[in-house]
Amino acid sequence: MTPDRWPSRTLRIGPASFHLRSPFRRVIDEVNALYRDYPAETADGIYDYAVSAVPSSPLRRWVNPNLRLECDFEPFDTLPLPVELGMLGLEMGMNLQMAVGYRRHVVVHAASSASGDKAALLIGDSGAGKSTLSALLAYREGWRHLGDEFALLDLDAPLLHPFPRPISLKNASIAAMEARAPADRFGPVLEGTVKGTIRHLLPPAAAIDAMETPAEIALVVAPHFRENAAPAWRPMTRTETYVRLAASSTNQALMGEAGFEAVWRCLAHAPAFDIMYGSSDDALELFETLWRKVTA
Amino acid sequence: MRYRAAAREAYVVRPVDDLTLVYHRPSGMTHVVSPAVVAILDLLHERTLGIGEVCEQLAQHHDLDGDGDDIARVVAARLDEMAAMDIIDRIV
Repeated sequence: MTPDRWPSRTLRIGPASFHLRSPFRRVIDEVNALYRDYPAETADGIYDYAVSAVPSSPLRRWVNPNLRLECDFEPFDTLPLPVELGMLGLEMGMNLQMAVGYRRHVVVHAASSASGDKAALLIGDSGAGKSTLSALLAYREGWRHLGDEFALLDLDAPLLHPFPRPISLKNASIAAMEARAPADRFGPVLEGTVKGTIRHLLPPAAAIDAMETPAEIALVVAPHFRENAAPAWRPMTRTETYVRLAASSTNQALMGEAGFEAVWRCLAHAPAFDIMYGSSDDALELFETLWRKVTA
Repeated sequence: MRYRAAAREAYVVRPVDDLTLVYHRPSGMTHVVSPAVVAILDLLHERTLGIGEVCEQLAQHHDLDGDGDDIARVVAARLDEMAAMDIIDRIV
């Protein structure tokens, strides 16, 4: 089977589209299952990025199969992945295309959620609790999930554009969300990844249906989960917010003045707070308190 | 050593809190700077000045604490930082 006949799936997530393919049918079957609610076509039939999970050598398709990624923007120095983690590999490939190649918006490594036409941006390092908080907002509080990996800042207005790919839950947050979201919204359990155990959670269908509708940014929150921590919050200065947003962005510096203005507009428009909590209930209570404060 | 900054249009200056964001159009870099840097930058747009002239003109517009040598040392340090950031040029 030649590469153009490999199982494949075109996928649109918000303003970006991808063409995923692999000779390993299992990988594309898992993609089709996890992304079943997402459009499989683009407006003009042209996709933005190609991401393929290919055997690491011709023999490895058949003997002890494993795979590596081939993308428009290539990862370097990565080890081959077992076929069972092929879907995760494609996800990493899609993330890389957005982080390195995307230029239509300022890309911030952050989660984002909307209530009505206003949105909150959740910034922080990996493991800080962004994905879990955005999943709780979506499944417990009925917020519109805009994304848990990348937030897309508009270049002309204080707006966040949705990029609502499946939420990447890790380790303890998997069980926390399994108790709160329908079982058929979860992907397979992926064990042995560099981040431990990962399980994807499909956002509510309404979030995917509305993925072309941006929301006005009203709040920036930097969440910190720490076991048994007492709930606490503090306002962030605009300088701190700028530095953290700029450091969290993969392309702001490359976007020149448009990137600078987009981040400036965000911090000029939305107050920012750093929050610490030790439980989901505390996280949501703190978040709701701050949300009421800034949207009153 | 003398120093010079590009025309005012080369910079986007946005005060935030006690600090200021300076976006430098020629380099595409953004810098978070103190009020002293903004005051010095303001003096150097399309003008070439030495450390003494910068100190003199700052004193005309701002209340400066300390004696002349202290102020000159601080200004020289700021000018060196600004040149290292490439937001002003050293003119030899």
